[in-house]
Amino acid sequence: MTEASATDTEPSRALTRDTDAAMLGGVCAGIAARLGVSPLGVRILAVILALGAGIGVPLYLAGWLWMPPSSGGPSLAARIRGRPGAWQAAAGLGMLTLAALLTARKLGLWWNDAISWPLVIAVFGGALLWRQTAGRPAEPPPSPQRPRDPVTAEQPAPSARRDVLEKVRAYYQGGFGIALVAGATVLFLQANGALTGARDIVLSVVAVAVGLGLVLAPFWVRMARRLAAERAERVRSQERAEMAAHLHDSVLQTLALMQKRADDPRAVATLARRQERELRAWLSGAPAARPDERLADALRAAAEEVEEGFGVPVEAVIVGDRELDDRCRALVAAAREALVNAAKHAPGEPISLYAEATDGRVEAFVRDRGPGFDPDAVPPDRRGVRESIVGRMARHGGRAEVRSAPGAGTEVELVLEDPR
Amino acid sequence: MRNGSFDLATLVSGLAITAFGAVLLADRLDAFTLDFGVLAPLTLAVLGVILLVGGLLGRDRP
Repeated sequence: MTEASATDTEPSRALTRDTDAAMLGGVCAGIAARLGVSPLGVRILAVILALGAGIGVPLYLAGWLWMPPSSGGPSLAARIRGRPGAWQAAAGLGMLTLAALLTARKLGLWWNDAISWPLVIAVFGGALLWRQTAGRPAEPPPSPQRPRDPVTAEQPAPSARRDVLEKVRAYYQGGFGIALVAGATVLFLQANGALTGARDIVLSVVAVAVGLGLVLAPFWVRMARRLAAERAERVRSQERAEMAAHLHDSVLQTLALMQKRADDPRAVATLARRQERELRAWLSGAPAARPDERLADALRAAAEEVEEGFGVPVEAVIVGDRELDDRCRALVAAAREALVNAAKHAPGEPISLYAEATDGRVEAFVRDRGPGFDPDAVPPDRRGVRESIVGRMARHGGRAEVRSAPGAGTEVELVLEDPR
Repeated sequence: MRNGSFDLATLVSGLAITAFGAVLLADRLDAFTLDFGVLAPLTLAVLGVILLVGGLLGRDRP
């Protein structure tokens, strides 16, 4: 984790907008910084391109859109693309760009059609290709621990389907970009009369290529299918190996431990519950727990701690989550104290912890079916409930209520509401 | 209109279309002459503004 963070914070050599030295969007300053030249020279060139040929304006706007700011964060295009309405906004931007180009052409701020239009098309195609190679966000590393559900292993999982769609989209965008650049090149050559002499050669090459393609297509398709099948088999084999390794490291080890401690039913039950939790988390692909940062993980950790410490089953159900701030830490500590009390005073009885975090409110309930007690009859010198639960919640702007009666079990309610 | 507030995307789109209509009207009244070289970028600009504003602002609607 530390290494990854360090890598992330290293100065990037990517082309960025220099927002500190910006006069408009920092595009020219960013290009100058990347090339190691004076920003003034790049700005003069941009003005010449804008006033002399019109192409400078859409180029500058494209840089503003696609170059990420030097201060960090994604580019404007990436931010727009990641939200609903992205295609609508992209179509609008495309139309505005085309309108600007046509206006520049009408006003005479233009080279000529034989140069400018192929250039525009080539820039657009190049941008698509560049995005395919450099602009795509890194995919998260595959989880080495989570297998596919054995029942549905033959069917592509939703994430696999998404990967396939993503690949198709990438190929489509890459192919479209290549076609645009190639088309722009041909258009440029044709418009400037460079293809006149080469037409016969090009036609011959195209005819031979089409003929060869028709002959070789069946072999190519067969080879592609065989490669895909081999790759799928390799992936399945790796998944089987990972599953076997995980089962050996976790379930088989726990079973061996349970055999050794067969004379202690409480220890066996604790081991079984811990293994069950771990296996469920592994199968569901849940991310690694962060009990120091997330409320739900902290509550689960408290429940596991009490369960292992006292050997009583604690059923923890947590709905919702939020960052673990000081107030939430107080709630976790109070819940832990309530769980400890339940484990001490209701031994052998199941304990349940239910917590729900919603916008502006967190509440937790700790229940047991033990002998219960009369809260009013608790001596003043017993400070567990009074200070560690009720007092702690009050000090952090929350409240706690203990509901119990002899023979009726106990319920502790903890509530935190965000200040408005 | 929603409870006294206004929809900015609709407002900008309406203003763009109104401006476009005004240009066409001026052309009709011979205030100036529109040709394809002017009309095409103008139409694209109006459509572009409507799409861009709708895409950027309309997404925030509940």
